[in-house]
Amino acid sequence: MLQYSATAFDVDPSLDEARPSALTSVQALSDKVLERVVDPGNRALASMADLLKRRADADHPETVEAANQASAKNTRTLERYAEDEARWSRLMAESQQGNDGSYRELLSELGGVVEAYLRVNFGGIDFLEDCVQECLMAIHQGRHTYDVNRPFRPWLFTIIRHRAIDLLRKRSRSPDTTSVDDEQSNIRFEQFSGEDQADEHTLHDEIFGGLSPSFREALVLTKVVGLSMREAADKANISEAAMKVRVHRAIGALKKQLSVAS
Amino acid sequence: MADMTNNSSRGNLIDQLAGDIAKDHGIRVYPAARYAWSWGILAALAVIGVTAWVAPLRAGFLSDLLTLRYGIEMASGLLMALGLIVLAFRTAVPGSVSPLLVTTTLLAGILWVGMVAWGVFDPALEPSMVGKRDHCLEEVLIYSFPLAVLGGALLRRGYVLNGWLSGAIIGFVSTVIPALIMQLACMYVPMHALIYHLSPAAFVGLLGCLLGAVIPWRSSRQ
Repeated sequence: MLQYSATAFDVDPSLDEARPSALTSVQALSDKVLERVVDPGNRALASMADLLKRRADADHPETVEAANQASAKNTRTLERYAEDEARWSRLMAESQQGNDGSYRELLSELGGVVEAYLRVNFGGIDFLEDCVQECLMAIHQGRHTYDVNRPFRPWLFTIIRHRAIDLLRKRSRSPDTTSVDDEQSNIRFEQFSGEDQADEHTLHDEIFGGLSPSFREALVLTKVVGLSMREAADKANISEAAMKVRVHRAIGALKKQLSVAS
Repeated sequence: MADMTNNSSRGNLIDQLAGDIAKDHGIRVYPAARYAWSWGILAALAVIGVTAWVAPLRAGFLSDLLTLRYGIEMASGLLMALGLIVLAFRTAVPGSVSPLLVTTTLLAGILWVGMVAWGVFDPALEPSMVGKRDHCLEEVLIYSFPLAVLGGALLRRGYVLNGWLSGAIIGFVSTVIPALIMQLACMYVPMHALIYHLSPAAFVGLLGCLLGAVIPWRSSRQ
């Protein structure tokens, strides 16, 4: 049986002096191992991988070219994405300061973006232009909630997605209407078009016959009765901007009808 | 032909909208964060003030807060209330509700209600009638309505997309604040807290949801 004496574990003072030199020599040895064994091994592996890659590249140059092109394309897309984001944010900030030129530029760009988004997400819906314009209106109505310190895209696409879904839902409830913002237009055409019922009906049947009630109402109030946009909007219980949109659309629809008729 | 008409129509619309911008001479950006904190602080101070004015707060509630379980329970309730306040006002800014905020608030809420419910079986404090208030349920409900109306009015200045959601959250948080304060002011009996302090939040939240779905969130100026 082994017997250990307590003194056997006592540190010999001479070892303390020897310890630094021993550590130094171990350190030096490990450096040599790293230098002579590990580093050359790593270099060999790296060169082997490089060689294999070059061989693969040489065997399939078209793949390399395609990969390079895709990479360059991705980089360009990301750059364009960042550029768009920064530009839209700047334009909206300037618009919030009252710069109508910036706002016109922003809305013109966003019109295309909205249209593309709707085409991709909802397909070729037949009232796409209505949707685009409604989305632009929604952006206009919510412009005061955009904070330049926050990203522009989430703000924009939340509005667009919500408005588009809202419009699709409304359209699916009342598929026969031309306008998609008719919830407040229950007021009948006849209520606003003066005393002469015969004239009203002539107008109704011959000119405005193919228009939706809301479009008829907008045209009669502004073009026949002669109210201002503000007054007409109050009558129809909608905002002035919405009335302007409605009048423009009604005129567009009327032009289409007349061109078809002629 | 149709494309040209559409482009011209869109161009006219853009001109009209840009014309509105020119008339505005600059607009004030909706200060969601400032509204949230102002409303939250005002709501807390008002409820504490009125609650203390109606009847004294429970004796020893500060020392109760120092006990671990009750402290965690109240802290999770406070965290939920803070999360809900921020969340409510962010619903008026499109695209600003973050999943992290929703998750944190939800977890804090589950923890709070869970701990109160756990107290029914294993109370965090010794249940007692100290601080009993005769009309704590009515107080919670009455305090919540003006807060909800004020909060709704502030939300209306933003751009609310889901009225039912904004209504539900503002209704809920308007009741959670008095409920949280009532937890300190009224007697500590967990079942009483669940029925008379916390359950009104579900009721007002539901009411807010229903009202939020029907009230017009856009002002005529918008």
